[in-house]
Amino acid sequence: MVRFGRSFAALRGLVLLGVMVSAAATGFAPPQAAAQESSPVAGARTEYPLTITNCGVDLTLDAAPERVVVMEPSVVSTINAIGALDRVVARIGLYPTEYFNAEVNDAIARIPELASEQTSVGGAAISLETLVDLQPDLVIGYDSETITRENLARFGIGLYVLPAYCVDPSAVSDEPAIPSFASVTDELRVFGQIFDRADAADAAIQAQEQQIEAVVGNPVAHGERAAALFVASDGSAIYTYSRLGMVDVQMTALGLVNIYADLPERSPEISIESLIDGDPEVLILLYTDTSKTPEEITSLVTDLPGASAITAVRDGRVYPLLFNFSEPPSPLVVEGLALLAERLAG
Amino acid sequence: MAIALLLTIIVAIGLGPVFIAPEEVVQIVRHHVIGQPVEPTWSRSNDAIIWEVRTPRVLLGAVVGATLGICGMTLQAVVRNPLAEPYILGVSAGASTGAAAAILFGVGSVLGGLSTSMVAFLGALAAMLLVMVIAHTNGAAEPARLLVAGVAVGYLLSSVTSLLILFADSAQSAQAVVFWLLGSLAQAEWSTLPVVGVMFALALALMVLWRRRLDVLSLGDETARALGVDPGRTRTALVLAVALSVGASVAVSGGIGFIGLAIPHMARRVVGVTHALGLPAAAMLGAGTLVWADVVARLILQPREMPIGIITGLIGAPVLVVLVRRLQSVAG
Repeated sequence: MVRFGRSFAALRGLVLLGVMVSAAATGFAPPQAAAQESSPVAGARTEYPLTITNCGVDLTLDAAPERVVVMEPSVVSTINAIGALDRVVARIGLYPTEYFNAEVNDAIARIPELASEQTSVGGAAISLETLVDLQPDLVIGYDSETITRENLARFGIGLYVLPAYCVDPSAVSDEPAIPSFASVTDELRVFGQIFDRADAADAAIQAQEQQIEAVVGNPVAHGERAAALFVASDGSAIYTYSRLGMVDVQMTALGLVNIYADLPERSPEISIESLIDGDPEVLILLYTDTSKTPEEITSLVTDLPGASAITAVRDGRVYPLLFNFSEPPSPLVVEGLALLAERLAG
Repeated sequence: MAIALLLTIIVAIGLGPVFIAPEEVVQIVRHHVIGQPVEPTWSRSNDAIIWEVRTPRVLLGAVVGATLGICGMTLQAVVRNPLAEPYILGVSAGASTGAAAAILFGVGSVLGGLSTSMVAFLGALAAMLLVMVIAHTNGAAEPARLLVAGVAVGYLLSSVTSLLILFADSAQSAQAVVFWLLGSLAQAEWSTLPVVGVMFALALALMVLWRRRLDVLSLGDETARALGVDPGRTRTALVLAVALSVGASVAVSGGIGFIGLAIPHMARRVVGVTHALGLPAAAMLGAGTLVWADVVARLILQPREMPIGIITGLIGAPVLVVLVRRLQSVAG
């Protein structure tokens, strides 16, 4: 059973690009994700009832959740890292196979799918009735048109919103949260606490830190100007990511310099003029449209008017990356980092 | 007015989120137009910004604005309703539905890079034909039926577009559809200009040629017949010209609102109600207004862009309010 503290209004439009769930997959082959439960190390047992602050709101769990619904691949990645995938009873959204190894993909395929349609802002849509009928004790993902804290609380179901998708960051602090790789490890720690798997979380954190250090210790880039973009599937709108985006953390770790780091918003729309003028030497293209090949995703940028004047386009240094390999913070982000390092080095 | 439009185009090419010195802007344009100076002394990026991004965008804005201006004026005469605008024929909704089908489900992908625009154009034509079929009685389109049919088809297709977005499997695709709903000149390229330009020229030629018929049609069908004009055939031909030219515009710029509604009224205030002067005035005012609206859209939130529909709405809404108040006064 779950209890909530103060309620807060859902402003789902603010997380337009944040709540994107990737679709069926085509594309490049990523490194394999961890599938097995990590070896336990020393870690404190969780005492219930457990109250954690999530997006500025208290979320209280009376016991470790046994029936969990997940809303996107990054959540599966984190839950899998602490060996609690068996607690997942349903999934919402799409889970491209590129994100996981065969074992995890098999496990995901066995989890009943509640909905894979998208709303107008890109999130997964599902009827509240269908969800309630499943009697989950915790839903992990984001506020959507039907799934809100208030709606779920009426049925004693908890909603853990991934911190990157908090609709009101000021609810957490006065300053917008600048992400770091600690955001990944923090998330693992919180999940370890929620599922009473602190020892597994500690082991996973250790593994993540080693992976991160392997890249940070040997940066493949040396201060090249770079930008991360999300381009609408017909090139009609270009969004970039400031230092408030996790992809900025990846770029810094790789030795790249994000030319849009100082923009005040996390993922503002920019003009092609600004991109040509900024003249990045490396472009990372985040995408969710898995009906397109990486080559087709690349052409969304290379076909833009005037794009041939951009150094990254001329030099062929445009790298498509499935969205959850970069956002939000999860073990997939560490995999994405390794993937980018490999491709930049190649 | 023509000189003001020319100056608008020149100045607008010089304005953008990236500052480029005016003398360099002139040099870049001269280099590409007349080959002088021969050797570029400017950066490759500035050249691309001026010649590949801004110039086609400004010219497209001028052509689309002019198209919406003359088509709005023509439709208001044809259906004898001051609130008529080009999109009442359902072309905008049809283009959006076509574009959504192309973007979200790959309809028309065999057409290659032009598939979205082509399918959008076909969607616009299909919507227009549907409206015409519904509105026709005894071989002629009756104004009131035309309006109601346009509104009904518009709502129907908007719902279909929403349904397509709902079933989209990617936010990236859903985001692309928003472009068609709000309108934008961001996709302007040199290759998009000829078709839109030719359609505009043909529509303008027909409307100017039939300027007297338009004047007569505004007075009512009975008067038109008395003066030797067949209202049914004239209306059908003009509506077809409007649908083709607006369909071509919408296919590359999405549905940009209010220009087709507000500009004809502004033009009439400037040059009077005859179409001989009204059509050129509506073309130039529409062109200039849309070009400036796009400049504001590019500059106000730089380096971000504001959807141009917001700017045209801010311009058009007050005009609409004034119009409504006048209608009330007349009724009172």
